[in-house]
Amino acid sequence: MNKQEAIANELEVLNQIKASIMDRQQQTTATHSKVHQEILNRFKELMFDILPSYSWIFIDGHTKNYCYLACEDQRFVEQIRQMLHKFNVPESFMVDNNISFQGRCVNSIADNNVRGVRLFATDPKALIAFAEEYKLDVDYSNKTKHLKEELKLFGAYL
Amino acid sequence: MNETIIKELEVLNQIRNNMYQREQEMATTRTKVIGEMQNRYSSLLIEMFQNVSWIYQPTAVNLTGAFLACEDQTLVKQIKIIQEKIGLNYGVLSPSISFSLYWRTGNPEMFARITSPDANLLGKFAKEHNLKVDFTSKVEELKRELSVFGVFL
Repeated sequence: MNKQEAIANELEVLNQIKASIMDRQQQTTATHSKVHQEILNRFKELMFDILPSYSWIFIDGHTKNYCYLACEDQRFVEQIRQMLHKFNVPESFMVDNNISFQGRCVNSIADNNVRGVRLFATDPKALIAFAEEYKLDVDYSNKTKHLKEELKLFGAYL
Repeated sequence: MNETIIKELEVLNQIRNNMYQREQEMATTRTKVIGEMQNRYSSLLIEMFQNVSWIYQPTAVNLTGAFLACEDQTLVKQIKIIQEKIGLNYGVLSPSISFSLYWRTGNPEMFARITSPDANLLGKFAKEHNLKVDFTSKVEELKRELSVFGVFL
């Protein structure tokens, strides 16, 4: 066997090793992704258990293209912060197709400067349905206030 | 809080951390293997280069770079086969000398090209590895440069 053949053979062996490593990497990445999703699912489950223990405020976005439920109870904020950190879960994630969770918000309620968390949606109906499903204690007075403002435009005063 | 879920989360988190660590280890090994392949590929190329003839070409007039070109289609074919097999199409022959197969404009055949931004280094490389190089174009280049100073050879 000449020198060129010897090197070519070594290259082939190395190439097989590389292919095998890539294959294992892909398998590990796929499993990693599944485990991560499983963590997120468990985390949501855990969070849904806690949500009804705290009070929430319904906020209508200024542009009316979004709305959210805000919680500024610092016990909950701190508890969630610790859990997010402990289980290495992103600070924001989708709760379902319509609602996202935002775990670290300053100004969680418009015009204040308090850190809180939000359950955010573009469709108020979806958010209200979610609040009802999980039996959340929600203060809708802000919504009522907003509705009153809107009705004023039509000459109705409540 | 639901203790069962917390326990499950702790276990899953541990599994994920282990996986992350394994992914990092695999990435490091893969990088090492690819580096080793690059070294072997370069050695193989240099061995193959010694059996063919090369033509020296400056990258452009008055630029310091240059390349060696080889039109030998047997060599080109062999290199193509190796490249397809091992998935490497760019060779690093030394820190400032690289290798690749190229197309010339308007020519369907590829050619082998050893390139360097430093023509002197390329000359040294050719000498060190006993490459058969036709430096005619280098002489032509020198003649052109000298003609600027009124020297005509």
